[in-house]
Amino acid sequence: MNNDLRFFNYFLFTQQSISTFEKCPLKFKKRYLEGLKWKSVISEELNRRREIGNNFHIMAHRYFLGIDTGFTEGIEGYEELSRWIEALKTYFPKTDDALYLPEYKLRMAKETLRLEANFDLLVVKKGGIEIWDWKTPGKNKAVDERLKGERLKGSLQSMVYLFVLKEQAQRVVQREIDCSNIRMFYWQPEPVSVLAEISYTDEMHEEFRHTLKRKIDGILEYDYGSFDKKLYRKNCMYCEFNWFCNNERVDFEAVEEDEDFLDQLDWDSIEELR
Amino acid sequence: MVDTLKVPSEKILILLLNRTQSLEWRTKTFLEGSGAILRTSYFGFIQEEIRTYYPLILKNCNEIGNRDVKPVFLTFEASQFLVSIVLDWRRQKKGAFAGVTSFSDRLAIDMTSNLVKAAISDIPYSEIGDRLYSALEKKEDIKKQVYKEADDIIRDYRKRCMELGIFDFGMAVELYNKCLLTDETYRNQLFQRINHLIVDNIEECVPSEVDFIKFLLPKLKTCLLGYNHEGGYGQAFGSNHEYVKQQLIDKIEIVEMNRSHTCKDFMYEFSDMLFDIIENSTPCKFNMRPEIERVPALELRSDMLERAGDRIIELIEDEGYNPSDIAVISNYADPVTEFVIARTLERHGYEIKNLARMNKIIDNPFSQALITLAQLCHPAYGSVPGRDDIRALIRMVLKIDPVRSSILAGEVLAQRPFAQFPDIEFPGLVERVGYYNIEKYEYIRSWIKEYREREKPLQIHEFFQKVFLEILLSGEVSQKDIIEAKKLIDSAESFVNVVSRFNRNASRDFLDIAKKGIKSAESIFELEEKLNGNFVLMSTPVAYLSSPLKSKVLILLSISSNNWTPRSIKEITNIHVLTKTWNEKDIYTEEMEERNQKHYLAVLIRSLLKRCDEKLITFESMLSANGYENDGILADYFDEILTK
Repeated sequence: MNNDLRFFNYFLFTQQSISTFEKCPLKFKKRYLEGLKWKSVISEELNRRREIGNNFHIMAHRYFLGIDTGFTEGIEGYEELSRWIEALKTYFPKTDDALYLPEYKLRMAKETLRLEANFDLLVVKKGGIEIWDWKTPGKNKAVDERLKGERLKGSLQSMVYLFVLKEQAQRVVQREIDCSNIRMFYWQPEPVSVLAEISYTDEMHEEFRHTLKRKIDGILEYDYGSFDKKLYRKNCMYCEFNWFCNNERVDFEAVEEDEDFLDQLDWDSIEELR
Repeated sequence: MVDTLKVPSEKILILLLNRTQSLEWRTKTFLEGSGAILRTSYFGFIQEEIRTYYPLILKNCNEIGNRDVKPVFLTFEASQFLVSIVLDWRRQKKGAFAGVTSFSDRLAIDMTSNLVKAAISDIPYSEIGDRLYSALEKKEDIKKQVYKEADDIIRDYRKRCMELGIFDFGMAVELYNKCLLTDETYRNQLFQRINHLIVDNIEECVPSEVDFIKFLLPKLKTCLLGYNHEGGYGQAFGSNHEYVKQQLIDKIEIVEMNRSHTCKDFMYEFSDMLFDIIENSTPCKFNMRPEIERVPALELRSDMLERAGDRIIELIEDEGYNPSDIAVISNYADPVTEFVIARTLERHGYEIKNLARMNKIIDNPFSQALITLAQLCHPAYGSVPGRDDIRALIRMVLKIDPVRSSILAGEVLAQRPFAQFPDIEFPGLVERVGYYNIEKYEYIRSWIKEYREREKPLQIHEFFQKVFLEILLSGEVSQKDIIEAKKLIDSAESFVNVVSRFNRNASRDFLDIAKKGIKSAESIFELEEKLNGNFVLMSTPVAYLSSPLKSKVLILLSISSNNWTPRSIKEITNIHVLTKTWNEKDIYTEEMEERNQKHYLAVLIRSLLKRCDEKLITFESMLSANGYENDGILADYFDEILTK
């Protein structure tokens, strides 16, 4: 029996797992096929920021559910969260003509296009659907927002989210939705801004279909016997498995400078088992 | 529903017993497209709801002092540890629990599970002791005192947890029922979110889950409940089949599944007869068939296990069964049982895996080495490693022979003020370590020395990870050892995260409980391997029945053992009294106990046999593992019913 999880129909790819594979196939294998969640030892400050970021996501979820956000004095990161939540409420006054679906998940499995997208927020309006993704500020606040926005526009996250939503939109709104009626936004609460806005098109959808299929087929066809560590050496410094592969320390200072790192800390769970 | 009827998957709640079932359902809930799939256990569902709707709980409960954004949940291990701390203190300082013979750890397990049982049966936690006492046949003051002391500890433990916003299973159920289900906003959202309900094995549901299903029923569009009227083996976990019958069965339309899909007709008939004779003493006879094999009693348990191992080899090599066709059921599926059978199987290139999670962290040499290093690196914790543990560590990292390792271990222990690796100049050391190993020895020695000089020690899980990577990891470390190390790190982290909130040195506490034998965690990957790999499977009856498994060959071990009929009356608990169907005015008599024991055995054995597709083999020994004579009743029923 072949126990390689890649070939099980319930094994769905996410933007993070595909991106991990591209950085290093061995890292993908350890994380997603062997389930080895090896945590990076991170600084207290980074841990604190991660916690505040997580709490912001929970509070935003509650805000859109229409219940108290749970924001009270004395909580970790009170001042930041206070500004962020206020910004959220001001930017997103909930209106009756829209349906808000926070922490929404969509899955699809059409041949090898087995994908899962976990949206921070979907807003269904008369004119279409909007995807909103929260980006809480990292350590380096002086980052060039324009560059960051460009990077997000071309990211795997945008590709997976937009593609899955278009494919599964009927499950959300019980009708077909044209690509032109789908938009995606990356929003940051401080300083309040939309880091990137993407208007989806039919051409993008076809291009994403091919790109994602090619990427997933590449993962499925990959022969681990041919793994050549040298090709992925530049990522080793940031990798939690550096000790396993190279018997070298992980440079956590460098890790914390890595733009994607905070996102990666909460890399998607493989299963929803609780 | 999702594909054809276009029901949004996130509107369907699927409640299952455990992770084993969930894995089975994962393949069943595979869809070409869907939203979220809410496939979880009742407890998992409650925890998630509390996490999301925590502000409503804070609004409705004035006992919670810490108004954090989200709650913290206790693991079983952490809650038992916390209770045992208070318990030990009271035992030593206040002479509590006079006359009680159970160890504190055992009492802590019973007390925390009492709290859960009370919560799932809607019994106020403050009434646990009174309820147990008033059901006693012989009411003695000393017993009353013991129950009161247990109640006091539970009250203090619960109060402190609530203040800190840290909840165990029992408290989570109580909060969900009292603070969320009573809240109008929550109720409206719940009804809006969940339109369809699927529950498997409702006969094993705990009473509060039954109440929850009943509560949802009128608002649901559809509801599908899987019910096995012959079940009810999960009473030890608080399930109550009687309550399910009273509350649910007449409220739903029944679609009968008349024939068995898991066993042949003769086994169906045989299992029913066995049930009847045990439960109702109905005399019946069953003609012996080759598919039912009774191996005569052997004298010692170890002989029986070896014989069972040999029989498994015959089944595979002579009779053509696959290892995965065979399940070995034992009420005592401990690592020793597993080891003896595994040894026989290994010689022939086969493996056995234990479905019941019985392994302790320290059973794994690699995890033990991590713990020994933790002891050596933290003199302030005052935990001196044993000589054997240091010897094993030296053998593992320096690969030197047992004699030299043992001498060196003695020297490590002889160092003052606290055990440490001696300086390289120490007389005779180089000869013992060997010239080739000196560099590695010196690396470890200075690593430990440097660590000890740190201003502040790392938290224990961070320490384990660091020491694992920097000392133990080498090219020779197997994947299995890496996973074991990872499990130790994970267990330590979840323990430290919770226990440190009680103003304790949680790192030191974790070392203590690890040495005492905390069970090792199991990853979903390992579980999946057990269920799908080509191994012989070993399990306790209940773990086997709570999985979706059936087997071509079922081997029952020790059928003359009285472990098949565990007593419900324990020093500070009783599963039949701490449940919803118990009448508070009744007395729990010895006759009731006997009847309940028999009923449990009858249900268990009938359910097991119905999962046996082709062949049943029973083994027994005259003496138990402890050397006592086995006088359990199950073997007698087999003898009585089977005729040649």
